[in-house]
Amino acid sequence: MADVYNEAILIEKAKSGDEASFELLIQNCKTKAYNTALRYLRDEEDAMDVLQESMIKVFRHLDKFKGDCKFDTWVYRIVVNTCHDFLRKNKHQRNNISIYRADEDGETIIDLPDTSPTPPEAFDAKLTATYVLSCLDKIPKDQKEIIILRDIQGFSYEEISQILECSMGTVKSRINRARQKLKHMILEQYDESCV
Amino acid sequence: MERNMELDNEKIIDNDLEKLLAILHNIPEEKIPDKFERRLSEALKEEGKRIRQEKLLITARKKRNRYLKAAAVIAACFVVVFASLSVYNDDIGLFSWHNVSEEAPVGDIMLAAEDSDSTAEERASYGAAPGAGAEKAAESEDMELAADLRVMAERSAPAPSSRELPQESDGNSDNVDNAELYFGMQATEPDILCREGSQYIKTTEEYRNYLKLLDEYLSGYEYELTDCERDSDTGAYMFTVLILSDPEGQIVNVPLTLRGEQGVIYEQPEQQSTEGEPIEEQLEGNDAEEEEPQTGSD
Repeated sequence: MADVYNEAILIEKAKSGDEASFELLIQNCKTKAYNTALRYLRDEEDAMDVLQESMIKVFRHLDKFKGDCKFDTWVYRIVVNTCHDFLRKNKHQRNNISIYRADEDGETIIDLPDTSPTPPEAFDAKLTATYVLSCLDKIPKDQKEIIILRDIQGFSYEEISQILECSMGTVKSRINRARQKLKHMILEQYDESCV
Repeated sequence: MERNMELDNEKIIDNDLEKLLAILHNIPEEKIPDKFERRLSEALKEEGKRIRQEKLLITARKKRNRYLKAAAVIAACFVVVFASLSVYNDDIGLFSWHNVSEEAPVGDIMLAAEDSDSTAEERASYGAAPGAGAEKAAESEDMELAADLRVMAERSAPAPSSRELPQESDGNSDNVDNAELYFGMQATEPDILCREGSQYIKTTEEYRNYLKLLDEYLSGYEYELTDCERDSDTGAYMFTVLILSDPEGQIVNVPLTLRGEQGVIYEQPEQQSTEGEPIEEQLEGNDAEEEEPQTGSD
Protein backbone atom coordinates (compact mmCIF):
# COMPACT_ATOMS: atom_id res chain seq x y z
CA MET A 1 0.00 0.00 0.00
CA ALA A 2 2.82 2.33 0.95
CA ASP A 3 4.64 1.40 -2.24
CA VAL A 4 1.58 2.24 -4.30
CA TYR A 5 1.26 5.54 -2.43
CA ASN A 6 4.92 6.33 -3.02
CA GLU A 7 4.59 5.32 -6.63
CA ALA A 8 1.63 7.67 -7.09
CA ILE A 9 3.61 10.52 -5.54
CA LEU A 10 6.62 9.79 -7.73
CA ILE A 11 4.42 9.64 -10.82
CA GLU A 12 2.90 13.02 -10.01
CA LYS A 13 6.34 14.55 -9.50
CA ALA A 14 7.68 12.96 -12.67
CA LYS A 15 4.71 14.34 -14.60
CA SER A 16 5.88 17.84 -13.75
CA GLY A 17 9.31 17.05 -15.23
CA ASP A 18 11.21 15.88 -12.14
CA GLU A 19 13.75 13.47 -13.61
CA ALA A 20 15.02 12.33 -10.19
CA SER A 21 11.54 11.07 -9.29
CA PHE A 22 11.31 9.34 -12.62
CA GLU A 23 14.63 7.58 -12.14
CA LEU A 24 13.42 6.30 -8.77
CA LEU A 25 10.22 5.19 -10.44
CA ILE A 26 11.95 3.07 -13.08
CA GLN A 27 14.61 1.76 -10.77
CA ASN A 28 12.87 -1.57 -10.17
CA CYS A 29 11.80 -2.34 -13.69
CA LYS A 30 14.82 -1.08 -15.57
CA THR A 31 16.88 -4.28 -15.47
CA LYS A 32 14.00 -6.48 -16.49
CA ALA A 33 13.14 -4.10 -19.31
CA TYR A 34 16.73 -4.16 -20.50
CA ASN A 35 16.84 -7.97 -20.48
CA THR A 36 13.56 -8.16 -22.38
CA ALA A 37 14.95 -5.85 -25.04
CA LEU A 38 18.21 -7.82 -25.09
CA ARG A 39 16.38 -11.14 -25.68
CA TYR A 40 14.29 -9.54 -28.40
CA LEU A 41 17.15 -7.90 -30.24
CA ARG A 42 20.07 -10.08 -29.19
CA ASP A 43 22.37 -7.11 -29.34
CA GLU A 44 23.58 -5.11 -26.38
CA GLU A 45 23.82 -1.73 -28.16
CA ASP A 46 20.46 -2.13 -29.81
CA ALA A 47 18.94 -3.13 -26.48
CA MET A 48 20.38 0.00 -24.84
CA ASP A 49 19.10 2.23 -27.64
CA VAL A 50 15.65 0.73 -27.41
CA LEU A 51 15.59 0.95 -23.64
CA GLN A 52 16.62 4.61 -23.67
CA GLU A 53 14.00 5.43 -26.28
CA SER A 54 11.41 3.54 -24.26
CA MET A 55 12.26 5.41 -21.05
CA ILE A 56 12.10 8.77 -22.78
CA LYS A 57 8.69 7.79 -24.19
CA VAL A 58 7.50 6.77 -20.73
CA PHE A 59 8.73 10.04 -19.20
CA ARG A 60 7.19 12.15 -21.96
CA HIS A 61 3.82 10.40 -22.00
CA LEU A 62 3.44 9.87 -18.27
CA ASP A 63 0.22 11.90 -18.42
CA LYS A 64 -1.33 9.09 -20.44
CA PHE A 65 -0.79 6.52 -17.69
CA LYS A 66 -4.27 6.06 -16.25
CA GLY A 67 -3.38 3.55 -13.58
CA ASP A 68 -5.54 0.76 -15.01
CA CYS A 69 -2.53 -1.57 -14.70
CA LYS A 70 0.73 -1.58 -12.78
CA PHE A 71 3.22 1.06 -13.76
CA ASP A 72 5.89 -1.59 -14.43
CA THR A 73 3.58 -3.47 -16.76
CA TRP A 74 2.90 -0.27 -18.66
CA VAL A 75 6.66 0.29 -19.00
CA TYR A 76 7.20 -3.27 -20.30
CA ARG A 77 4.43 -2.79 -22.83
CA ILE A 78 6.19 0.30 -24.15
CA VAL A 79 9.51 -1.53 -24.25
CA VAL A 80 8.02 -4.46 -26.22
CA ASN A 81 6.33 -2.09 -28.68
CA THR A 82 9.54 -0.12 -29.13
CA CYS A 83 11.39 -3.40 -29.81
CA HIS A 84 8.84 -4.21 -32.50
CA ASP A 85 9.32 -0.78 -34.05
CA PHE A 86 13.08 -1.17 -33.92
CA LEU A 87 12.99 -4.57 -35.57
CA ARG A 88 10.65 -3.30 -38.26
CA LYS A 89 12.88 -0.31 -38.98
CA ASN A 90 16.09 -2.34 -39.06
CA LYS A 91 14.66 -5.37 -40.80
CA HIS A 92 16.32 -4.62 -44.14
CA GLN A 93 19.64 -3.64 -42.60
CA ARG A 94 19.84 -6.96 -40.81
CA ASN A 95 18.99 -8.88 -43.93
CA ASN A 96 21.46 -6.99 -46.04
CA ILE A 97 24.52 -8.70 -44.54
CA SER A 98 26.17 -10.38 -47.49
CA ILE A 99 26.84 -14.07 -47.41
CA TYR A 100 29.09 -13.82 -50.45
CA ARG A 101 32.81 -13.18 -50.53
CA ALA A 102 35.53 -13.60 -53.11
CA ASP A 103 38.45 -15.98 -52.68
CA GLU A 104 42.04 -15.43 -53.82
CA ASP A 105 41.26 -16.55 -57.39
CA GLY A 106 38.33 -14.21 -57.60
CA GLU A 107 35.71 -16.91 -57.42
CA THR A 108 32.67 -16.25 -55.35
CA ILE A 109 32.16 -18.49 -52.40
CA ILE A 110 29.17 -18.48 -50.09
CA ASP A 111 29.51 -18.20 -46.32
CA LEU A 112 26.70 -20.01 -44.59
CA PRO A 113 26.79 -19.56 -40.83
CA ASP A 114 26.52 -22.93 -39.18
CA THR A 115 24.78 -22.62 -35.82
CA SER A 116 23.69 -26.21 -35.68
CA PRO A 117 25.47 -28.60 -33.34
CA THR A 118 28.17 -30.73 -34.68
CA PRO A 119 27.22 -34.43 -35.00
CA PRO A 120 29.47 -35.83 -32.33
CA GLU A 121 27.93 -33.65 -29.66
CA ALA A 122 24.93 -34.95 -27.81
CA PHE A 123 21.56 -33.23 -27.62
CA ASP A 124 21.95 -32.40 -23.94
CA ALA A 125 25.26 -30.88 -24.55
CA LYS A 126 23.89 -28.72 -27.31
CA LEU A 127 20.96 -27.55 -25.29
CA THR A 128 22.85 -24.54 -24.13
CA ALA A 129 21.33 -21.15 -23.70
CA THR A 130 23.04 -19.80 -26.80
CA TYR A 131 21.75 -22.59 -28.92
CA VAL A 132 18.21 -22.26 -27.63
CA LEU A 133 18.22 -18.51 -28.18
CA SER A 134 19.47 -18.97 -31.73
CA CYS A 135 16.63 -21.41 -32.35
CA LEU A 136 14.24 -18.92 -30.80
CA ASP A 137 15.08 -16.49 -33.60
CA LYS A 138 13.77 -18.98 -36.15
CA ILE A 139 10.23 -19.29 -34.85
CA PRO A 140 7.52 -16.69 -35.65
CA LYS A 141 7.78 -13.33 -33.95
CA ASP A 142 4.62 -13.57 -31.80
CA GLN A 143 5.71 -16.99 -30.52
CA LYS A 144 9.19 -15.76 -29.82
CA GLU A 145 7.99 -12.80 -27.79
CA ILE A 146 5.71 -14.91 -25.64
CA ILE A 147 8.53 -17.37 -24.90
CA ILE A 148 10.74 -14.45 -23.91
CA LEU A 149 8.11 -12.93 -21.65
CA ARG A 150 6.92 -16.13 -20.04
CA ASP A 151 9.81 -18.59 -19.96
CA ILE A 152 12.80 -16.26 -19.89
CA GLN A 153 11.55 -13.16 -18.07
CA GLY A 154 9.01 -15.03 -15.94
CA PHE A 155 6.00 -12.73 -16.31
CA SER A 156 2.66 -14.05 -15.17
CA TYR A 157 -0.13 -14.79 -17.63
CA GLU A 158 -2.01 -11.70 -16.46
CA GLU A 159 0.99 -9.47 -16.92
CA ILE A 160 1.63 -10.88 -20.37
CA SER A 161 -1.99 -10.34 -21.34
CA GLN A 162 -1.64 -6.69 -20.26
CA ILE A 163 1.71 -6.20 -21.98
CA LEU A 164 0.55 -7.73 -25.25
CA GLU A 165 -2.99 -6.39 -24.86
CA CYS A 166 -4.72 -9.70 -25.47
CA SER A 167 -6.79 -12.12 -23.42
CA MET A 168 -5.31 -14.60 -20.98
CA GLY A 169 -6.66 -17.54 -23.00
CA THR A 170 -4.85 -16.25 -26.05
CA VAL A 171 -1.67 -15.99 -24.00
CA LYS A 172 -1.94 -19.58 -22.79
CA SER A 173 -2.62 -21.06 -26.19
CA ARG A 174 0.13 -19.02 -27.76
CA ILE A 175 2.62 -20.14 -25.10
CA ASN A 176 1.74 -23.76 -25.70
CA ARG A 177 2.10 -23.44 -29.46
CA ALA A 178 5.33 -21.47 -29.12
CA ARG A 179 6.92 -24.07 -26.84
CA GLN A 180 6.00 -26.89 -29.19
CA LYS A 181 7.34 -24.94 -32.11
CA LEU A 182 10.62 -24.21 -30.35
CA LYS A 183 11.04 -27.83 -29.33
CA HIS A 184 10.44 -29.04 -32.89
CA MET A 185 12.83 -26.42 -34.19
CA ILE A 186 15.57 -27.65 -31.85
CA LEU A 187 14.93 -31.27 -32.85
CA GLU A 188 14.96 -30.40 -36.54
CA GLN A 189 18.24 -28.61 -36.16
CA TYR A 190 19.63 -31.59 -34.29
CA ASP A 191 18.43 -34.10 -36.93
CA GLU A 192 19.92 -32.00 -39.71
CA SER A 193 23.23 -31.86 -37.88
CA CYS A 194 23.15 -35.66 -37.46
CA VAL A 195 22.57 -36.14 -41.16
CA MET B 1 6.75 -52.49 -31.92
CA GLU B 2 5.97 -49.26 -33.76
CA ARG B 3 3.69 -48.14 -30.92
CA ASN B 4 6.51 -48.64 -28.43
CA MET B 5 8.79 -46.57 -30.58
CA GLU B 6 6.21 -43.68 -30.69
CA LEU B 7 5.84 -43.73 -26.92
CA ASP B 8 9.58 -43.62 -26.56
CA ASN B 9 9.72 -40.66 -28.89
CA GLU B 10 6.98 -38.83 -26.93
CA LYS B 11 8.83 -39.44 -23.72
CA ILE B 12 11.96 -38.14 -25.26
CA ILE B 13 10.07 -35.12 -26.56
CA ASP B 14 8.50 -34.39 -23.15
CA ASN B 15 11.85 -34.75 -21.53
CA ASP B 16 13.28 -32.41 -24.10
CA LEU B 17 10.56 -29.82 -23.36
CA GLU B 18 11.29 -29.98 -19.67
CA LYS B 19 14.96 -29.53 -20.34
CA LEU B 20 14.21 -26.71 -22.74
CA LEU B 21 12.08 -24.87 -20.18
CA ALA B 22 14.73 -25.39 -17.55
CA ILE B 23 17.34 -23.87 -19.83
CA LEU B 24 15.09 -20.92 -20.64
CA HIS B 25 14.37 -20.29 -16.96
CA ASN B 26 18.04 -20.48 -16.14
CA ILE B 27 19.20 -17.97 -18.68
CA PRO B 28 21.04 -15.48 -16.47
CA GLU B 29 19.84 -11.90 -16.21
CA GLU B 30 22.26 -9.45 -17.77
CA LYS B 31 23.34 -6.39 -15.84
CA ILE B 32 22.73 -3.00 -17.39
CA PRO B 33 26.07 -1.52 -18.53
CA ASP B 34 27.26 1.44 -16.49
CA LYS B 35 27.68 3.62 -19.55
CA PHE B 36 23.97 3.17 -20.21
CA GLU B 37 23.10 4.53 -16.76
CA ARG B 38 24.97 7.74 -17.49
CA ARG B 39 23.52 7.98 -20.97
CA LEU B 40 20.00 7.47 -19.72
CA SER B 41 20.48 9.97 -16.90
CA GLU B 42 21.59 12.69 -19.33
CA ALA B 43 18.76 11.94 -21.72
CA LEU B 44 16.25 12.09 -18.88
CA LYS B 45 17.64 15.44 -17.71
CA GLU B 46 17.16 16.89 -21.19
CA GLU B 47 13.69 15.47 -21.40
CA GLY B 48 12.83 16.76 -17.91
CA LYS B 49 13.91 20.25 -18.91
CA ARG B 50 11.80 20.08 -22.03
CA ILE B 51 8.77 18.83 -20.09
CA ARG B 52 9.09 21.64 -17.53
CA GLN B 53 9.27 24.26 -20.27
CA GLU B 54 6.28 22.70 -21.97
CA LYS B 55 4.33 22.71 -18.71
CA LEU B 56 5.15 26.39 -18.21
CA LEU B 57 3.96 27.17 -21.71
CA ILE B 58 0.78 25.20 -21.22
CA THR B 59 0.13 26.94 -17.90
CA ALA B 60 0.71 30.35 -19.47
CA ARG B 61 -1.55 29.46 -22.38
CA LYS B 62 -4.26 28.24 -20.03
CA LYS B 63 -3.98 31.41 -17.97
CA ARG B 64 -4.19 33.54 -21.11
CA ASN B 65 -7.18 31.57 -22.35
CA ARG B 66 -8.84 32.03 -18.97
CA TYR B 67 -8.30 35.81 -19.15
CA LEU B 68 -9.58 35.88 -22.72
CA LYS B 69 -12.63 33.90 -21.73
CA ALA B 70 -13.32 36.20 -18.80
CA ALA B 71 -12.86 39.25 -21.00
CA ALA B 72 -15.21 37.81 -23.61
CA VAL B 73 -17.83 37.11 -20.95
CA ILE B 74 -17.53 40.63 -19.54
CA ALA B 75 -17.75 42.13 -23.03
CA ALA B 76 -20.80 40.02 -23.79
CA CYS B 77 -22.42 41.17 -20.55
CA PHE B 78 -21.72 44.81 -21.46
CA VAL B 79 -23.24 44.32 -24.88
CA VAL B 80 -26.32 42.69 -23.40
CA VAL B 81 -26.72 45.42 -20.76
CA PHE B 82 -26.16 48.15 -23.35
CA ALA B 83 -28.64 46.59 -25.74
CA SER B 84 -31.19 46.11 -22.97
CA LEU B 85 -30.88 49.72 -21.85
CA SER B 86 -31.11 50.92 -25.42
CA VAL B 87 -34.23 48.93 -26.01
CA TYR B 88 -35.71 50.09 -22.73
CA ASN B 89 -34.95 53.78 -23.15
CA ASP B 90 -34.58 53.98 -26.91
CA ASP B 91 -33.00 57.37 -26.35
CA ILE B 92 -29.93 56.84 -28.45
CA GLY B 93 -31.88 56.01 -31.52
CA LEU B 94 -30.11 52.70 -31.91
CA PHE B 95 -33.29 50.74 -32.18
CA SER B 96 -35.55 53.46 -33.60
CA TRP B 97 -34.12 53.00 -37.07
CA HIS B 98 -37.19 51.15 -38.23
CA ASN B 99 -39.43 54.14 -37.53
CA VAL B 100 -37.29 56.36 -39.69
CA SER B 101 -36.63 53.82 -42.37
CA GLU B 102 -40.29 53.09 -42.77
CA GLU B 103 -40.91 56.69 -43.71
CA ALA B 104 -37.77 58.35 -44.97
CA PRO B 105 -34.05 58.59 -44.21
CA VAL B 106 -33.08 61.10 -41.53
CA GLY B 107 -31.51 63.38 -44.11
CA ASP B 108 -34.77 63.56 -45.98
CA ILE B 109 -36.90 64.27 -42.96
CA MET B 110 -36.68 68.04 -43.45
CA LEU B 111 -37.85 67.72 -47.00
CA ALA B 112 -40.58 65.38 -45.97
CA ALA B 113 -41.60 67.81 -43.26
CA GLU B 114 -41.74 70.66 -45.75
CA ASP B 115 -43.77 68.60 -48.14
CA SER B 116 -46.14 67.53 -45.49
CA ASP B 117 -46.46 70.97 -43.94
CA SER B 118 -49.66 71.74 -45.66
CA THR B 119 -51.26 68.41 -45.05
CA ALA B 120 -50.14 68.28 -41.46
CA GLU B 121 -51.35 71.77 -40.82
CA GLU B 122 -54.55 71.15 -42.62
CA ARG B 123 -55.16 68.10 -40.57
CA ALA B 124 -54.19 69.97 -37.46
CA SER B 125 -56.59 72.76 -38.26
CA TYR B 126 -59.40 70.37 -38.99
CA GLY B 127 -58.73 67.36 -36.94
CA ALA B 128 -57.30 69.06 -33.90
CA ALA B 129 -60.44 71.03 -33.37
CA PRO B 130 -62.67 69.70 -30.66
CA GLY B 131 -65.44 69.14 -33.20
CA ALA B 132 -65.28 65.52 -34.17
CA GLY B 133 -67.00 66.20 -37.45
CA ALA B 134 -64.00 68.18 -38.72
CA GLU B 135 -62.00 65.04 -39.22
CA LYS B 136 -64.70 63.55 -41.33
CA ALA B 137 -64.95 66.77 -43.28
CA ALA B 138 -61.20 66.78 -43.90
CA GLU B 139 -61.32 63.23 -45.08
CA SER B 140 -64.14 63.96 -47.46
CA GLU B 141 -62.19 66.96 -48.81
CA ASP B 142 -65.15 69.22 -48.42
CA MET B 143 -63.17 72.33 -47.69
CA GLU B 144 -65.99 74.73 -47.14
CA LEU B 145 -67.73 72.47 -44.75
CA ALA B 146 -64.45 71.89 -43.02
CA ALA B 147 -63.85 75.58 -42.67
CA ASP B 148 -67.29 76.07 -41.20
CA LEU B 149 -66.82 73.28 -38.78
CA ARG B 150 -63.46 74.63 -37.81
CA VAL B 151 -64.92 78.08 -37.11
CA MET B 152 -67.57 76.54 -34.97
CA ALA B 153 -65.05 74.53 -33.13
CA GLU B 154 -62.84 77.54 -32.50
CA ARG B 155 -65.73 79.42 -31.06
CA SER B 156 -66.58 76.65 -28.69
CA ALA B 157 -63.04 76.08 -27.54
CA PRO B 158 -59.76 78.00 -27.61
CA ALA B 159 -57.67 77.12 -30.61
CA PRO B 160 -54.64 75.20 -29.56
CA SER B 161 -51.29 75.99 -31.02
CA SER B 162 -49.78 73.69 -33.53
CA ARG B 163 -47.64 72.19 -30.82
CA GLU B 164 -50.59 71.61 -28.60
CA LEU B 165 -52.73 70.09 -31.22
CA PRO B 166 -53.35 66.42 -30.72
CA GLN B 167 -51.33 64.73 -33.38
CA GLU B 168 -52.65 62.02 -35.50
CA SER B 169 -50.48 59.01 -35.56
CA ASP B 170 -49.98 58.97 -39.27
CA GLY B 171 -46.63 59.18 -40.96
CA ASN B 172 -46.83 62.79 -42.06
CA SER B 173 -47.40 64.24 -38.63
CA ASP B 174 -44.62 62.06 -37.33
CA ASN B 175 -42.37 63.47 -39.97
CA VAL B 176 -43.14 67.02 -38.93
CA ASP B 177 -42.48 66.15 -35.32
CA ASN B 178 -39.29 64.41 -36.22
CA ALA B 179 -38.15 67.40 -38.27
CA GLU B 180 -38.75 69.70 -35.36
CA LEU B 181 -37.01 67.42 -32.98
CA TYR B 182 -34.02 66.82 -35.18
CA PHE B 183 -33.54 70.31 -36.54
CA GLY B 184 -34.84 72.41 -33.67
CA MET B 185 -37.49 74.05 -35.79
CA GLN B 186 -40.54 75.45 -34.13
CA ALA B 187 -43.25 75.77 -36.74
CA THR B 188 -45.29 78.80 -35.75
CA GLU B 189 -48.14 78.20 -38.07
CA PRO B 190 -51.11 80.52 -38.10
CA ASP B 191 -54.41 79.21 -36.84
CA ILE B 192 -56.17 79.87 -40.08
CA LEU B 193 -54.79 78.62 -43.34
CA CYS B 194 -55.12 80.61 -46.46
CA ARG B 195 -56.87 79.09 -49.41
CA GLU B 196 -56.75 79.73 -53.07
CA GLY B 197 -60.05 78.82 -54.59
CA SER B 198 -61.06 75.62 -52.91
CA GLN B 199 -57.50 74.51 -52.12
CA TYR B 200 -55.59 75.43 -49.03
CA ILE B 201 -52.14 76.73 -49.85
CA LYS B 202 -48.85 76.58 -48.14
CA THR B 203 -48.23 79.17 -45.44
CA THR B 204 -45.78 81.76 -46.68
CA GLU B 205 -43.84 84.53 -45.08
CA GLU B 206 -46.00 87.01 -46.97
CA TYR B 207 -49.12 85.57 -45.39
CA ARG B 208 -47.57 85.80 -41.97
CA ASN B 209 -46.67 89.42 -42.53
CA TYR B 210 -50.23 90.20 -43.56
CA LEU B 211 -51.44 88.49 -40.41
CA LYS B 212 -49.14 90.73 -38.40
CA LEU B 213 -50.49 93.78 -40.21
CA LEU B 214 -54.00 92.58 -39.52
CA ASP B 215 -53.20 92.27 -35.88
CA GLU B 216 -51.77 95.76 -35.76
CA TYR B 217 -54.65 97.11 -37.79
CA LEU B 218 -57.23 95.71 -35.40
CA SER B 219 -55.24 96.43 -32.27
CA GLY B 220 -57.59 97.01 -29.38
CA TYR B 221 -60.37 95.08 -31.00
CA GLU B 222 -61.21 91.61 -30.03
CA TYR B 223 -61.59 89.74 -33.25
CA GLU B 224 -61.50 86.37 -34.81
CA LEU B 225 -60.10 85.54 -38.19
CA THR B 226 -62.65 83.31 -39.84
CA ASP B 227 -61.34 83.03 -43.37
CA CYS B 228 -58.54 83.98 -45.70
CA GLU B 229 -58.52 83.67 -49.43
CA ARG B 230 -55.78 84.55 -51.85
CA ASP B 231 -56.58 85.82 -55.29
CA SER B 232 -54.41 83.84 -57.61
CA ASP B 233 -54.53 86.52 -60.31
CA THR B 234 -53.65 89.60 -58.29
CA GLY B 235 -51.95 87.89 -55.36
CA ALA B 236 -54.14 89.82 -52.92
CA TYR B 237 -55.28 88.31 -49.65
CA MET B 238 -58.89 88.63 -48.52
CA PHE B 239 -59.21 88.31 -44.74
CA THR B 240 -62.62 87.79 -43.24
CA VAL B 241 -62.73 88.67 -39.57
CA LEU B 242 -65.45 88.82 -37.00
CA ILE B 243 -65.08 91.78 -34.68
CA LEU B 244 -66.21 90.49 -31.36
CA SER B 245 -65.82 93.61 -29.24
CA ASP B 246 -64.55 97.14 -29.61
CA PRO B 247 -61.74 98.72 -27.56
CA GLU B 248 -64.27 99.77 -24.96
CA GLY B 249 -65.27 96.18 -24.51
CA GLN B 250 -68.69 96.41 -26.06
CA ILE B 251 -69.71 93.35 -27.96
CA VAL B 252 -70.36 94.16 -31.55
CA ASN B 253 -70.10 90.92 -33.54
CA VAL B 254 -69.59 92.69 -36.82
CA PRO B 255 -68.05 90.85 -39.75
CA LEU B 256 -65.35 92.70 -41.61
CA THR B 257 -63.45 92.01 -44.80
CA LEU B 258 -59.89 93.26 -45.18
CA ARG B 259 -57.76 93.18 -48.28
CA GLY B 260 -54.03 92.82 -48.22
CA GLU B 261 -51.99 93.53 -51.29
CA GLN B 262 -48.67 95.13 -52.15
CA GLY B 263 -47.70 95.14 -48.51
CA VAL B 264 -50.72 97.13 -47.42
CA ILE B 265 -53.83 96.02 -45.60
CA TYR B 266 -57.07 97.90 -45.77
CA GLU B 267 -60.78 97.37 -45.38
CA GLN B 268 -62.49 95.91 -48.37
CA PRO B 269 -65.50 97.94 -49.20
CA GLU B 270 -68.88 96.26 -49.61
CA GLN B 271 -69.20 94.84 -53.12
CA GLN B 272 -72.89 95.68 -53.21
CA SER B 273 -72.94 99.06 -54.98
CA THR B 274 -75.64 101.53 -54.07
CA GLU B 275 -77.76 103.01 -56.74
CA GLY B 276 -75.98 105.61 -58.77
CA GLU B 277 -72.71 105.30 -56.80
CA PRO B 278 -69.77 103.58 -58.47
CA ILE B 279 -67.66 101.19 -56.52
CA GLU B 280 -64.64 103.41 -56.83
CA GLU B 281 -66.43 106.24 -55.10
CA GLN B 282 -67.56 104.01 -52.34
CA LEU B 283 -64.01 102.86 -51.90
CA GLU B 284 -62.77 106.42 -51.91
CA GLY B 285 -65.45 107.46 -49.44
CA ASN B 286 -64.65 104.56 -47.25
CA ASP B 287 -60.99 105.17 -47.53
CA ALA B 288 -61.47 108.69 -46.39
CA GLU B 289 -63.45 107.55 -43.40
CA GLU B 290 -61.16 104.76 -42.46
CA GLU B 291 -57.79 105.09 -40.91
CA GLU B 292 -54.71 105.26 -43.00
CA PRO B 293 -53.61 101.86 -44.16
CA GLN B 294 -50.50 100.52 -42.65
CA THR B 295 -47.55 99.43 -44.57
CA GLY B 296 -46.14 96.01 -44.03
CA SER B 297 -42.78 94.80 -44.82
CA ASP B 298 -42.36 91.98 -47.24
